[in-house]
Formats: sequence, C-alpha cells, structure tokens
Amino acid sequence: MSDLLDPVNAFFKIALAVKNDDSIAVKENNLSITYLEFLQKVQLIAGAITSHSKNEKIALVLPQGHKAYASMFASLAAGSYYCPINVDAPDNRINNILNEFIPDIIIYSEETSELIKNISPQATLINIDDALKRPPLLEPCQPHEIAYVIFTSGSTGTPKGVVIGRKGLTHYLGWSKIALKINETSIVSQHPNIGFDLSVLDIYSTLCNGGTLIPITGMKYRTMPALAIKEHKITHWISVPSIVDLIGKSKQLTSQNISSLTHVVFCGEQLFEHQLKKLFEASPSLNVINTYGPTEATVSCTELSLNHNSYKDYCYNNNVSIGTAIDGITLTTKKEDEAELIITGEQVALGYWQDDNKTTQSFSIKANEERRYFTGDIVQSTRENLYFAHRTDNQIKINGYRIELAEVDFALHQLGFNACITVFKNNQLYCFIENEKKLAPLEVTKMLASILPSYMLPKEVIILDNLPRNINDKIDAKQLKENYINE
Amino acid sequence: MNDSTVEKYQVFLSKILNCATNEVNINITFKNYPKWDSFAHVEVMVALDELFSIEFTEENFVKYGNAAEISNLFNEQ
Repeated sequence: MSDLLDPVNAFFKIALAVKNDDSIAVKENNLSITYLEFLQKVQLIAGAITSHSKNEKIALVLPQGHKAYASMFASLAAGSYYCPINVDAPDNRINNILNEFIPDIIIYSEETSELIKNISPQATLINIDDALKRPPLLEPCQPHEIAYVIFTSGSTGTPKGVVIGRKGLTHYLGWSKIALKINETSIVSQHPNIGFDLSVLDIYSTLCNGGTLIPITGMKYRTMPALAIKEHKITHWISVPSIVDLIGKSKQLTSQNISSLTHVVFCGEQLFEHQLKKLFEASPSLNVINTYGPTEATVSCTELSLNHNSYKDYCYNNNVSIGTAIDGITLTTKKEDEAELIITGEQVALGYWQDDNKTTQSFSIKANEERRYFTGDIVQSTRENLYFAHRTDNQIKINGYRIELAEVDFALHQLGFNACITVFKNNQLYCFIENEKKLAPLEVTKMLASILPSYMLPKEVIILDNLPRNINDKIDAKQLKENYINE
Repeated sequence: MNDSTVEKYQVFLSKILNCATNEVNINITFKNYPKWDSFAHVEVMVALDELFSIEFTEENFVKYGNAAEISNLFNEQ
C-alpha cells in the first residue's frame, strides 16, 4: 500500500494543494472551516501534543465536530495514537475506558471538562482552545505502528479496546478512495459519534480526498436526517441502515428531499430488502454500497454495489448480501455452506488492548504470516452470495452498536439483581428479573440508564416472581422469549 | 381509565411511547425516559405537526422533547 494513502500524508497533500480559500473541509452549524484553516488547526494541536515529553497515547474527549476531527489527524501527525470517546455515554463508561486506556494526554473542550474531573492524575490535560494558541508542528512525525484504539462492549462490564494499526487504516482508505469516489465536489455526512468506528470512514475518506464534511448534530437533524440531506445538499450519506427506517417514519423519504444524494454507504448492521426498496423508490439513480466488517477488521472489509435494477438479485428472505472481500482481504470459512467467517489481511487489528488472553482467543498473529481474525459471525452462502446468518455467541448489534448481552446482565448484577437475564428478540433487548426488590420496571430501566449508554437499554424490563429454569437449573431464556415476548 | 379521565397529552404520549397513561407525567423528557428514543421523537414531532402545525426547527425539536411543553400545547388548544 502506497505511503501516499497514509491519512496524514493524504490530508497534508490535499490541504497544501488547495489554492482556493473557499474549499470547505468541515461545515458545522454556521461555521465553515476551509482546508487551510483545518490544516492550521491540525498543526497547532500536533504542536501542543509534541510539546509534552510523554505523548504516545491521546484520549479525545471532544464532541462530534471539527475540533475532534482535527485532533485525530493531529494525534497521527504527532506520531501518537488516539482513543476517541463518545461524550454522550454515561460518566462511568467514560471513566472505565479512560482507566483502561491510561492516556498520556487528554484533549478536552469546555463542554466536556466535567467528564474528566475524576480521571487519573498522570495524564496531561490539554484544553483544545489553548492548544490552538501553541506553536505549530509543520512537518509530521514518524508514524506510530498504532493508529487508534476504539472500545466496544465487553462481557465483563469493562469495555474491550480494539487496536487498529496505521497500515490497516491506510489500507482501508485505499479502498474507500476508489469505492466512494469522494472529491472536491462531494458533501459527506458525518453521522456516527466518534466513539463508533464507522465514523472513521466518513471523517478520513472525506478529508483525505478534498470533500466537505457535515457533522449531523442537534436534535432536528439527528431525528430527521432527510432535512440535513436537503439543506446541506449532501452527496454521500454514510450510516447504519436503520436510518432509512427513521427517515421513513418521518414521512420524509421523498425524491425532493434526497435528490442531492449520489452515494449511500451502509455498514454496522444488517441491511434489509425493504430498506433498499424504499430508498430506490425515492431515488432510482442512487448508488448504494453495502459493506460488512467487525471493528477488528478496521470498520469494513466487504463491498457490494447495488442499484435499482440489480438489487433484488442480492436479496434473500429480506436480507441483503454482504458482498465480497475488498482487495487485499481474504474471507474464509471452515465449511462451505454455513460457517464462521475468518478475515485475513492488513486491516485485521493488532489485537485487543492489553489483553493477551482475548487476543489469543480471537486472533491468529504469527511472524511472517498475515493476521487472521475469527469473527464469531456465521455466514451463509446462498445462490453464490454471502449473507450474515447469526452470531456464535451472545453478542448482538442494535443500530450498529455491538452489545454483549452479558454486559447488560453484569449491569443488572451491579444494581443488586441476582436472578436476571437479558435476551434479544425482534431486534430489541428485553431484561427479565426476579422480583426481589419490589421495584417497578420503569425504575429498573432508569437505574440501568445511569450506568449504560442509551443503545444498551432494554425495550422492556419484565419482572416475574420466579424466572423459569432449565434442566441444568439455568435461567431458561428460550422459554422466556417464547412465552413473554410477542413476535 | 378511559381517555376522558386522563389528560390529553398523556393519551397522546402513551400511544406513541407504547406505555400506560399513568407512566406519563409532565416530568418525562426525551433525555430521561428510555422509551422516548429517536424513533419515538420522530413520531411525536410528526403528530404535533399534524395537530398543531409545529415547524420543524431545532428549537422545537428540543422544546417538544419535554412532556410539560407538550401538555401546554394541549391546554392552549
């Protein structure tokens, strides 16, 4: 993979080549930041990072927006690596991640200063606005082997860090440059929060190729994304597929609202035929790219281009195929028809953050061999197309967020519920608990909301006098699903 | 309890949030009530637009993510 595709090199090249001051890198509320202004911010923040002697691990505790994006590029330019934090997560989750990552430097803003009050005193705190007043770093430093560490749900209640290499990120950006065709005329959505790895695709693909990035923030645009597409004339929309259902619910999936869109890229959860049907009815000329990939393979590693005429060929039982491996990635299964998918190639993560046991369980990392990741995703080959079937464990996905059911159970245990179980049905979570504390379901949900992010909260808490047990005396999840949750 | 014995905003929100009317009170908001998620808020805003011609502005999305403000709308009807 060419060094020119390295995110720092690609961005510096684009930004320095821009002669026209009107080229906008990020458009945020009423603020337009040109490529030259964005480059200056990257250099200033990188300067602030390198002014400290201990500067390898950078935690970004910043809201979605240009300051967070500039800090990502700055961390890489400084020869460091970063961990992006979802600042909307509950305080204890943010603390857990920071305690696991143990950053050398935390970059924060006025809006997030409350979140870092109780963190480890070893870290140097940099207020982003102060960083912008320091001497700049004009030439990027030698790249670190690691690009970023992103934390996902972990079964013990502690989030699990996935370590992504700089070469893996570079490889991924090589794919996205060709597949997404983003250039100076492109206007690209930035919908996922920065703690969710899908954000890597929109942020880097746009800013390394001269496009304009539009952070989708505020209740209006988060709730009705079609209004953002129309107002900003967005050409490339990148998100989880369930956004189509959200737009449909608002009755705004119309030709008029999405006429500017040329490309829609889906990742993070299963794409369904009904979602494609709605999209193509509103915009028959749309190019849709469906992708699949775990965080451990740098966002995504398959692709399938879909258009109005051909999409039905790739649908089976309402599911849409995940496509084929992108260049440089090999997908294998142990059996032919339905089996666990194994991913091999440069994009495979370097392992789990400071957890050799988990790394050994899920990865094959040997000298002189390409890294392999055992996904735990069972795929099915039907009519020569690959489809996601189910997981081998209790990990599920809702709106693109990966959730270990055991982590929700762990939270219930923390709250003092001894007999409890979380199940997944109809794409929703349900918590069953034994009636020990005489609490109302809503009170339990509110208690959970204080320690879990909103996407991990159950649709319903169901309290029973006694939870049914199977012959091994374990709580009978199957019976609970069948008897207490409607189809 | 039928519709006439509970406040109109409680009936309105309980139908959208798929909960009992007595779970709805003026203290619940988009932020503190787990069933009031993005999907439910879309329904709230579309329904308020149909009933009261509410404009889809950022201010209104924030304002009507709050049961107290919705109850005011029904009271002013």
